[in-house]
Amino acid sequence: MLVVENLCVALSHRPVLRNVSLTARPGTLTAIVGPNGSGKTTLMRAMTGEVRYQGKVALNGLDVARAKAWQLAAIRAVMAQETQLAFPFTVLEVVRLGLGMGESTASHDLPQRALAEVGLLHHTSRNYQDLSGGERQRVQLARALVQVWTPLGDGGARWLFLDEPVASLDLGHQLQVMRLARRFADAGGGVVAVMHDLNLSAMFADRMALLADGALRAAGTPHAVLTDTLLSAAYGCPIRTNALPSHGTWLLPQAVAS
Amino acid sequence: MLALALRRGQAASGARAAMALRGLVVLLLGISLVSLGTGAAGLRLDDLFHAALTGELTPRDQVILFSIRLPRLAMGVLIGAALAVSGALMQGLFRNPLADPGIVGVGAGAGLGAVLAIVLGGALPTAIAVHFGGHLVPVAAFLGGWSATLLLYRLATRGGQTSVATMLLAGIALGALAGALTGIMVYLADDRQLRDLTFWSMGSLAGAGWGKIATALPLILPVLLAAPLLARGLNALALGEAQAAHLGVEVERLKRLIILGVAAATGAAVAVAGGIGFIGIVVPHLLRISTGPNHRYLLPNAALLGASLLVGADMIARSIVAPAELPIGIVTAVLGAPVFLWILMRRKGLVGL
Repeated sequence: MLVVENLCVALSHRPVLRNVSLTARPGTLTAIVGPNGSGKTTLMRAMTGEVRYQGKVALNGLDVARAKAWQLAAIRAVMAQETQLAFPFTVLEVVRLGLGMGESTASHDLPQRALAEVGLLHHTSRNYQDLSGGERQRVQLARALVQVWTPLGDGGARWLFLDEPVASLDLGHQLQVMRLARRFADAGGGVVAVMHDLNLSAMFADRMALLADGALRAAGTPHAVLTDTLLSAAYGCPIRTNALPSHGTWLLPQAVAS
Repeated sequence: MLALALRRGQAASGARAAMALRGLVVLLLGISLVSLGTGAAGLRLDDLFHAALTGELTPRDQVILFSIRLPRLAMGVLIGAALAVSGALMQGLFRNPLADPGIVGVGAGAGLGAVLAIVLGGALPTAIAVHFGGHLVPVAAFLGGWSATLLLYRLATRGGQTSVATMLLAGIALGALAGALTGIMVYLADDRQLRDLTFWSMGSLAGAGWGKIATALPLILPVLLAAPLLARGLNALALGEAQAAHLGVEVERLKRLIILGVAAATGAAVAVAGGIGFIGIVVPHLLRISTGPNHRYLLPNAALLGASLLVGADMIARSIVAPAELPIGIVTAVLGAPVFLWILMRRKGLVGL
């Protein structure tokens, strides 16, 4: 269980998030959406313990502000928007970083399986720095998966925090990555993802949280959040949503004639 | 450290790096043997083999072997390993292949300490001067290097978080200040002192003895032994500090350990052997190109290659103009710089930082 209560974050003395409260359950995929600068990434960074905040963030009952790095690493993995690698590690070496301290000497096939899941198994010995942006993103996803793939012994859920996991991916790989996140949630894990694409969010998320100007404007099922009024107000432009009976909600942004 | 790395090496995927480790052990043993049989005194390797078989060694040769060549070899191994491992640690910490221990102020601080001792040492009250004896310069160099690092570390740390970028910038400023103070001392120095400090700045293993080794060993050995334990953290750090923390690395503690460890090891190395350049940058870089950047192998391999190179360079330094000696810093630069350039030119395209 992820619990966020009255979260406030200020960066360089400027308030970026105000009184955000939300919860997420294991077994679900929560999409955080909102316009640029609405505080999505800051919310992600607060929930993963990367920035200081006021209020409360608890993951599986563990206070994120006070937890040790290894305690958090044992229950959740984080995939950042972009990762710069300092040295020319191979793809497999990067994915192996997701293995824990004790696991790194064990000769199991978790990294290979994760690379197979993201369609990069034939790239294991390539230099990470030679990969395209989309390939790097999938390598990072594989690394995050490796960190939390096997369920915890005590039955507690493990979590994936993804910051724009499909940002530089083509359509086919967007679907591949979202299906992977969906399967992780269906297997009992929790997924929290910052998303830009509202249609993809509608297709794969159980719950959505809509941020605008650092405040939570709506949270609930995609059907409840993706309404014409909420989206038009949050994004500052007229937006019309549509629904297909078989596929849930989809959107049609309407251009404004100025 | 070796056994640990070997055991891990068999299980993990870096078969090439693990093989390089064995090769480097052989290289170091070979160079060490040749080094023991090289010198101005004419005691050669076949004399040593003969002595080993018969158990006969003249008293003169015993002195040469056990009081001159063996401590000198041990010091070369110790300092070469310390410089190379410190370089690899710094490059991992700063996520930059150009970083070297000088970045944390050790070099500038140690240099200032040594120059102060050389120039102003004569003005010390006799009681104190006698107490330090010949150790005044190394002690001052170590204290200078260590306090410069602590100062820099304090400057770059706010609220328990150390900014490596601030450290880099403050290090440049502090280095310039130490350089200016050193300049004042050089200006004040007389001819004999000028000669002393010029030679100190070029480094030398001359005058190596078991006493100096006993001083440097407690500062260098713990860093060499502990370095492989930091390998996972350093590998994770390549993804950035935030990502490393998400992977479970206690980043602040890791930074503190590396900075203080490097200050101790490099400070001790500079104190007993003066300024020896190039080992800290060339050795890790060579290894990264040939066997990859994984610190699990990079750190033990750097220790072995650094030790081999410095012992080899020392052999050249003391035989090329025998019975005189070249400062070893000249040899490492004359050999290291072209090799480094050749490697850079040979690579396709430009090296990305």
